[in-house]
Amino acid sequence: MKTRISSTLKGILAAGSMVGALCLTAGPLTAATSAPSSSEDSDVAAPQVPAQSRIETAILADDRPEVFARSRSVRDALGMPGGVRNRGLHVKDGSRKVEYDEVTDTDSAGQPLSLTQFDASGRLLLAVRFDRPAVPARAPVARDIALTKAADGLKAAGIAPNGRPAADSVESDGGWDVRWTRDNDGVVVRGDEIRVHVRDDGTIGSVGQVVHELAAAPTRRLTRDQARNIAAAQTRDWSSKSGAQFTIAAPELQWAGPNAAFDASKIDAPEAPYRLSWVVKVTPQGNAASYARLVVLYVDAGDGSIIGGDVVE
Amino acid sequence: MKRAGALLVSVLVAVSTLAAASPVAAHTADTWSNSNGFRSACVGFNNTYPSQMYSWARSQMSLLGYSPINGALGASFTRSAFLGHVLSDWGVYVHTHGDNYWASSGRPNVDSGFLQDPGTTRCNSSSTDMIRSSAIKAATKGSPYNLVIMSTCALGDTSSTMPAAFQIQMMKTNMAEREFYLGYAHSTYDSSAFRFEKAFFTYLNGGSNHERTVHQAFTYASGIGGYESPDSANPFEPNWWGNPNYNGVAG
Repeated sequence: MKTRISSTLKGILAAGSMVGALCLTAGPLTAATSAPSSSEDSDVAAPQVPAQSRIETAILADDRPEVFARSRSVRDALGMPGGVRNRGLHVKDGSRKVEYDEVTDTDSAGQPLSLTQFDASGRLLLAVRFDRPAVPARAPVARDIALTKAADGLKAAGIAPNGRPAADSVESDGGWDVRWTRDNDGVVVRGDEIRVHVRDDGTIGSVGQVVHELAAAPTRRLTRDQARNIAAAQTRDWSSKSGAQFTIAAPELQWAGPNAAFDASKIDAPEAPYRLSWVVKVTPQGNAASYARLVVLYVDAGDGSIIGGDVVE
Repeated sequence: MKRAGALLVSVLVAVSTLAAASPVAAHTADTWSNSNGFRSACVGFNNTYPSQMYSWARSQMSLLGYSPINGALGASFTRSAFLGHVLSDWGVYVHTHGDNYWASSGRPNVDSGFLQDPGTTRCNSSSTDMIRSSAIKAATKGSPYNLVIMSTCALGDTSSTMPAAFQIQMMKTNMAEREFYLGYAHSTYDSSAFRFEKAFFTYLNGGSNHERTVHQAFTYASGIGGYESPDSANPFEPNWWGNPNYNGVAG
């Protein structure tokens, strides 16, 4: 009942807002208490974003049967459900800055049951099932079992991960996220990974694979101490502007992607290959620590420029 | 005086009638982002994520039918503005610093909160800029909400009291209510949250006739991977509560 009353109240407020807008439009009458009808109240310029950054082109089974065959093969290998219909699309995905062939299997009502995405080289980017286990598992799958299930699933799908996986329990839907971090000659590629979600009941919920293009490694590489000095100089500059102090952790050599974290002029730049970088974690101290938990700098291991970074607010 | 009273009654009747009869009532959303707390004068650099994420959220909430979309990027994101607007909202998006703070009273001794924008003349202070879930709860007056996204650290944790401030039960079951709350359980990189939100919204707003559900979008966005996390104690972990079969559309 409370909800119904409040919903009505919200409807009245909404209508009041509309009446207010009408009154304002009409001229002499004024709306005293209506909510602002302006569409934006910004204090700084916000970048414009295309409403839809996903461009889709239909793929027909007669034209490209291999797309559907590959999808079916991986879907079945991972134990994901097939549907009564499927639909193929070639997608230019602006938000992820990748292109792929996508096949969605749907039920008779048109609801998606599973989906696969492959890039132009035939590499699996994503396989995911959308159904939820009908009944929560009585005994959620244990970590070791999840690791085995994930490795077996990848093998069946023809994917060979390198290295040792890590596993994190997943609060949102139960189960485990099993992750293999990508490295190149022993150097971690930041964010690149194979991630397998093993559901509570031991079935595979998703396989995601992220692989970025890497630039050539620099012929001369900065030392860790040189990278630390560059980060120290950067934080001294930040301190002079803000008064905030920072502690600097030991730089780690990683492949990292140039980004616009600290430079708005790069927001619309096309994705550049990842560069060998010294990744430096910088922790704000004092008052700044109460709202900015961590800052990360990507220092180009070749020329020492800061190519991007990240923030934990 | 009598005339003024009659006029007030007329206005209320007109507004009530319009609310009941209008097939296309306004479904207001507010998107808020704290940019000044992460500008050069406070941290030495200008973090571009608050403005990027604000723009994305606005465009995508609009595609879901929320209109008008108010709120602010920057100094107008204040506690009084947020609490003053929230009752009329159906959708709420917040990007700023958030956490689950200790509370001396009430179970579970947590009063989740997030920081308003500090404005251009000072930097954020936890003691003066916090917008607590208890204050939001009072301002929402038991009113229902469709889509609430807390693009902050920690407010997707199971200890968070933020979902209840919007009357969203911390359940993940089919229900009649059209409601969905999204947050992150741990400390989260801006880049990871932005990647997730772009994938979530892109999938949800894809297809035709808003046939996709919030849980499908959540599953899709979780599945793509590529999420960096600060350390092993803070894995990237988005979380949700509400009705998984809701399509995210306003109203």
